[in-house]
Amino acid sequence: MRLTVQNLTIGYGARVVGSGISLVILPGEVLCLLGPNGAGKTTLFRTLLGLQPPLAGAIAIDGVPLEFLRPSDIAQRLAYVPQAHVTEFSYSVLDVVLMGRTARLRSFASPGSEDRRIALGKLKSLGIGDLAGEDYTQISGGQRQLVLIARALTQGTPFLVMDEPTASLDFGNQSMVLARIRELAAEGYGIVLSTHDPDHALLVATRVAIIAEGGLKVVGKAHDVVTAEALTALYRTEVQVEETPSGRRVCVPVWQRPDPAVRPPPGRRF
Amino acid sequence: MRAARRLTGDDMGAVTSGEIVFMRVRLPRVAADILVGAALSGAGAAYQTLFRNPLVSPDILGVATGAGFGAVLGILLTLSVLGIEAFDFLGGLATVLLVYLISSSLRGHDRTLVLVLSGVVIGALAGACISLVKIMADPYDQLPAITFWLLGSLAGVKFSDLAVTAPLVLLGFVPLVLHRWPIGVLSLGDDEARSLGVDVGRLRATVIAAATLMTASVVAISGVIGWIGLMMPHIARMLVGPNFNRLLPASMLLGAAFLLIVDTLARSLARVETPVGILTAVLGAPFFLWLLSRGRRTWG
Repeated sequence: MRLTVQNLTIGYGARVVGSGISLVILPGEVLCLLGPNGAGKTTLFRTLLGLQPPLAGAIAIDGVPLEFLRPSDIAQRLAYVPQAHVTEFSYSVLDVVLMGRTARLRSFASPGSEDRRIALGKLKSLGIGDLAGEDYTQISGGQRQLVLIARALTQGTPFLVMDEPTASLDFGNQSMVLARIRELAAEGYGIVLSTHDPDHALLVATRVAIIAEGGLKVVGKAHDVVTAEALTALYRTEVQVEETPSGRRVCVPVWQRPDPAVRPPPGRRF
Repeated sequence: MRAARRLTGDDMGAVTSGEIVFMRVRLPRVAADILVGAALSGAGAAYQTLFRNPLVSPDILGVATGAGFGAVLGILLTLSVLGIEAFDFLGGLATVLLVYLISSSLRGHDRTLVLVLSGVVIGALAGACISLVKIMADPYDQLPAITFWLLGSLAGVKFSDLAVTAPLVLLGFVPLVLHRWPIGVLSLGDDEARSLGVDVGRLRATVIAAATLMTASVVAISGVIGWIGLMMPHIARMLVGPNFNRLLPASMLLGAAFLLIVDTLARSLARVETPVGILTAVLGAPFFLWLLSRGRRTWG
């Protein structure tokens, strides 16, 4: 199983958002896309999922070009985890997760007991089995994100595409979702995700791709790509990458004015 | 057997006037109430799920008025029942397509507002076209027929009308039943539904055509009976939840029961028969305002 993106040009009509994008994603990998707002992460994702056609280049799953596949064929290979959102109607959590089975159903069928068993199993595996009967619109943002991940897992695909899975979550939920993502990669899922937080890339990514105006800038191992220079250029603010005593790397913005959390050295007044 | 022959009019033997009233007047009307109520509510449930919007319905979207214009035009041209049905369907379909195109081209606005307002605008346009037809109609023969029909009434329904309408309703109903599960998935939005494997463009076209056929075919016999398609799916959603597998049958059962009750009231409340469309509007308008006032982000 491999997802290949070859020399892709993405955009809408005459407007090119990015070009020359090439990627390969293998099972067990977490590829993290870093880039500022408006750099084209969403456009790349939509193209990757077959929601909009590429302007040039090709996307293939195991050598089969995406444009030869019907929506239900794509949905059996690539699952999409959108940002946690609220649905218009108050579906139960189980209903939302069961919708992941749509591409696996025979024509004109509805999910049956086997589908229900799979859906409940995925909810349990993410530690939210007891939410099955809850109203999806009434649970917390972190729980909703996990429900959407459970839905993607019931699709039974080798690849997962996640759009900012940690956005708008509190610190605890971010950490929980990131931990699940690591576990899923360990189980053999190939995962592509986007994030605004370079620390998250350092935490979960096996590889990181930097996407900026015009296309993909760098792809490589997280430690090689997430550097002070690259982040400073990307976000147009000075950033340092520091190592913690435990050996982890963290990204820290550098300010001209002293950090309020750090006590000023004695003898100087402000 | 005897009852069946009575229905078809073969057996004209000794019958009491009560029997005639029951067989020729009441029974077709009861059947029509059930058919029309179920069809409008089923179409309403489909539109609401498709447009991800609990405030739309055949009448709010202007479909009923558009279909009404088609039908009135059919009456003006003195077409057969089938011809009126055809005009009616085309009128309804043109309306819903126009509304959909307008609301989707006005991006960046409140989706609900744009959809409802587009429906109101196109519905008003269709209403103006109906007025134009009324002016052109023969004032002694066609105009009273058109006017009474537009008020929304099932008083004059005959079994021969139902024989044309029922199969058309069924033709719209079958695709909704077959696609019941993906229709629910469509309520998550286009991108998500497609990423879950739904062929969004094709399914949406199917649902619009099916729901519009159901609406238009009953409008041809009942006139424009408003509000049922808005209220019933909403109450059904409160009872069984938004899952379309349950929402569709629940809405249709409620719609059938509701119209049966309200039409019986319309017939017997006053000495002069009240067109049922007036009664449903009296009930529906406050219901709509109540929905608006709840102003929730999500709906039952």
